[in-house]
Amino acid sequence: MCMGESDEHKHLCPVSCPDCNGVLSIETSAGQPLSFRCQIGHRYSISSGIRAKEDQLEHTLRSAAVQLTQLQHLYQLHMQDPDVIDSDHQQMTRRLAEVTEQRRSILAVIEDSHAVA
Amino acid sequence: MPSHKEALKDEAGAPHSLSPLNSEGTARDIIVVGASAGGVQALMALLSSLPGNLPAIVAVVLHRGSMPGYLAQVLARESTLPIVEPTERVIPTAGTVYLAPADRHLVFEGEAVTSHRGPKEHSTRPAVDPLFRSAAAIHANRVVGVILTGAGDDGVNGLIEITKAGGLALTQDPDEATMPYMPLHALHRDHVCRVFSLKELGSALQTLASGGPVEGGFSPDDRLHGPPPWYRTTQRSRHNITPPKALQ
Repeated sequence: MCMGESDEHKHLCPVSCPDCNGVLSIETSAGQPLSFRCQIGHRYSISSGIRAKEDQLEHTLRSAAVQLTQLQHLYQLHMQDPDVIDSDHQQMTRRLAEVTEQRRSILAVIEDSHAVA
Repeated sequence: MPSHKEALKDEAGAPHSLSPLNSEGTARDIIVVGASAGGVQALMALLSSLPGNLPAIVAVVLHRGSMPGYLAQVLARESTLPIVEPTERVIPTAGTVYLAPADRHLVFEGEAVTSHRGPKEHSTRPAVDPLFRSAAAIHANRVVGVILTGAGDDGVNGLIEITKAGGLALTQDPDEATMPYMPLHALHRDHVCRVFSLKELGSALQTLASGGPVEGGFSPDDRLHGPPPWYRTTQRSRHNITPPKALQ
């Protein structure tokens, strides 16, 4: 006998779909392991969901690191402008140091992560 | 109190005695196969062992990239069965292998087999679960589902659906699989009825397709290795898991 709709129990999950960021529902039914499904129809088991979220997290962190790298370039470029007044130059120097440190920290977070799935 | 699995094992740890599979004589003529890492070699071995007059429809999903490739041609080198990658509805015929095309889920739809670019499952397309679910929903107890080598757990839910529909669930022996995790995930769900080496699998499927009983293979309980495979990276030392032979 195939599983009928009445056998399924769905409730919302506080995790967004790794593929489309839509709302995920948890599907449970007798004899079945937990599974997750969004309104598009992307499906995950608990382990493939963890793996996808880990990938999404790394992607997000790398995107942030790239933004910080680009900010570094822009600040360095702007600071070469002879028309920049001293007070702005000091603020940009401070911010450039922050950006450099934040980029280093994010890359360290990626490097120090040990995903399980 | 012993677990369900422990209760099944006798105290000496001897292999379980196995009753013939499919003794009721049902023709299992819809064969669905799922594989991932290591699957090319496993599929070549399996297809080379199937006869050209196999009285069954064979549908195969192998996790693959999204770009078109030469998988069908590669598999055809060792197969006596023709291999088709359907991109539209076709009425399947016995003795033909239907292979999921790149970036498309392979599914049964009414009397046809087809493929579509439906939502990815387990972050992959093609995925095994859509094929197995559709086979179970349409062909019920005619279906034999087979999980071969691979990582992850795609196919496990589909295999359970096949079992619920009265079909048979088989896996490749994880001890010989290049990646044992897909078979192990299936085994840990308690819905697999028999484990076969690739060497035995072809003749078993041929017999099942004809409605005959099948001897041999391994009991699922004889092929389990400690706690479920999702503990493999964090809990191995604590639980003293013996890694499957393929990983030792």
